[in-house]
Amino acid sequence: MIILRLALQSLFNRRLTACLTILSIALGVGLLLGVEKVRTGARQSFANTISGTDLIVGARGSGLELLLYSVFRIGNGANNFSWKTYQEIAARPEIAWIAPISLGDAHRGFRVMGVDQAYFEHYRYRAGNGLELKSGALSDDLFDTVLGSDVAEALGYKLNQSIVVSHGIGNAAFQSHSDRPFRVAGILKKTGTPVDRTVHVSLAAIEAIHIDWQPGISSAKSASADDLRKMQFQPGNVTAAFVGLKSKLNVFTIQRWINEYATEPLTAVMPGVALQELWSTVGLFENAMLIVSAMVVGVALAGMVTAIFSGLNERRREMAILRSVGASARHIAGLLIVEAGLLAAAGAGIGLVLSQTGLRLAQSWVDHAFGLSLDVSAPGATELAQIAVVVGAGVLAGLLPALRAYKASLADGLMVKT
Amino acid sequence: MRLKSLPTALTIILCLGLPAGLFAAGAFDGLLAAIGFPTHSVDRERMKLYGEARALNWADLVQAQDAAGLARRLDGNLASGIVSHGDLLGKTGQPLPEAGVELPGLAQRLGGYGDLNSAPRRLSDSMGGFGNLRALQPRGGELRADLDGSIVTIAGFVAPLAFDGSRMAEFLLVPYVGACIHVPPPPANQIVFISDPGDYRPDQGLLYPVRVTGRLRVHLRETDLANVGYQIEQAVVERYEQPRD
Repeated sequence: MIILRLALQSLFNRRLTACLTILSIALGVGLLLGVEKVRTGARQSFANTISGTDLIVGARGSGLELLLYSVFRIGNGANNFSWKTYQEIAARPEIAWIAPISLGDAHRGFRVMGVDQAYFEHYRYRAGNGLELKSGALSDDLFDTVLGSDVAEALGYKLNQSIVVSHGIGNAAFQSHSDRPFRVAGILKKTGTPVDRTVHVSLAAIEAIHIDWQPGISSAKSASADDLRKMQFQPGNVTAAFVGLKSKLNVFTIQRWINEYATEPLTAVMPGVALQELWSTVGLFENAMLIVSAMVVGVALAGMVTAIFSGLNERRREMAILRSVGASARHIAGLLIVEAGLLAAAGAGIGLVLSQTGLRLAQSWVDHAFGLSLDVSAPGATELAQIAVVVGAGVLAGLLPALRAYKASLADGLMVKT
Repeated sequence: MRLKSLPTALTIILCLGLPAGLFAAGAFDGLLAAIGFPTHSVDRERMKLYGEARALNWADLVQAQDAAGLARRLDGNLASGIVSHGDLLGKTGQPLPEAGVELPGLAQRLGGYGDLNSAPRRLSDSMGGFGNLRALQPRGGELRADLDGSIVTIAGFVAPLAFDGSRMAEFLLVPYVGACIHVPPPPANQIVFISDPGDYRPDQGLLYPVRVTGRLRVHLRETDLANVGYQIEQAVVERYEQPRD
């Protein structure tokens, strides 16, 4: 116990150097823990975005891309597929439910997605949670929209408010609220998924928005809102469809049937397989980040050893005094080891606090930027194991100066020849 | 002199010997796993539940009396991929292992890739066109009901269904890599649904086979919790070790 008290007082005596050493270790450990938390949090968040969907169908392309743009709203599909094809797929007896979506537009930075009632009914996230309304209702009217919670919060929209959802800029009629207003019919509860950052309209509304853009530019005259309501829009094509099967064992056969569908080039992807592909691609990068963080901690510990070593020369008199009051060379070595251990432990503890606060602060930014909620939980077994390894490494690193001091104190004895 | 160099020697031995000793003792994997590196570790607790596991081939999952009928349908193509895992791993031309299933002519068709090249590749062609593609619900009669409840071990490839962070929460076990587009997809009696693989974190990717051990359930009727087909509950998943011959 006396060694501990001695070590604490010795460190306090050189508190500036000690604090700098602790800070550098803390930054290294904070980085290590932070990287690990972000890694697992991002994976959890991605995996929680969709559940219960057996297949996602879209136009021919990479399966991973299809997952990214249909579920995560990252990127865009290159093509849609026709309504007729969608109906043929939906008619298959193995399918329990199917929810088509139509993507491509944006409203003040948030994506606009055409959906039908099946989407609200069957979309699941996390472990089977469905989409719930915070206020309002799910309406089927042509000009009704259902907003994700982040959209309503960021843009300050309330129920029954009129908003303008248009295709691009340049159509004066659409820009004015009075002509084709969209009404906020409902606002969804927060899900922690990209659903929060989406403006949901009906599939028919996507057609209506584009009615004046047939040749790619807006035409001079445009139909009025009432005319549009009478037009009875049938969706011409859809971007993707989420499919749930009656039996999971059919998934490969239905997937192959869709992939080989001769009338139109399609791709069907299993979300789990695409996610695993994503992890394999990103996994290499994740491991590299972990190794770099471990090296940062290693550098910080090396800095600690340097600091202790460089102080050894000045402390020779101190060691001689300690030896004169009865400390043996072993006690001197032990003192240095304990000092190193204390520095490493303090650094690791502060690093833990740094990573937790840093992540909690960054959580809201990540949510705002990507629509993904990082699950920043209390430190678990993995974090504590990592801290234990850092402290152990610190103690081991302390062996080197301890050895030096041991030999020096034996050589000096009670008389320091400086 | 010897006494003074003893601490140095001890330090060096400790610094080098500790990790080497851990590595030798196999605890290195555990240490790496504890600090978050993705490594392979088998759920030893669960493994203790299973004593003698019966080793199954994929051909065992097919009804014997259907074999002749299947062989007829197999004429000219591989419509139902009744292939044993041993064949897939490159030992072509050999007869199927003792599975109690006689598939006349299949061995010849599997041996030599010349046969596979001439076979019609598209599922639609083998099923006689889109119009004939009837409902593909697995039928209870095609399953081996006598295997229900037995502890089995079977090797195959993983097709993930659901993730829980890094842990795979559900997957399908199939005889060949599910994405293989050179053969028709596996039929319903050649797929096993693994509903609870424990703490399975795939560290090798989907192109490596795994060995799954657990209690096999054969569902002959659809219930709220299960579809018709094979399921392994409380599975232990480990890397597939190729048997030396």
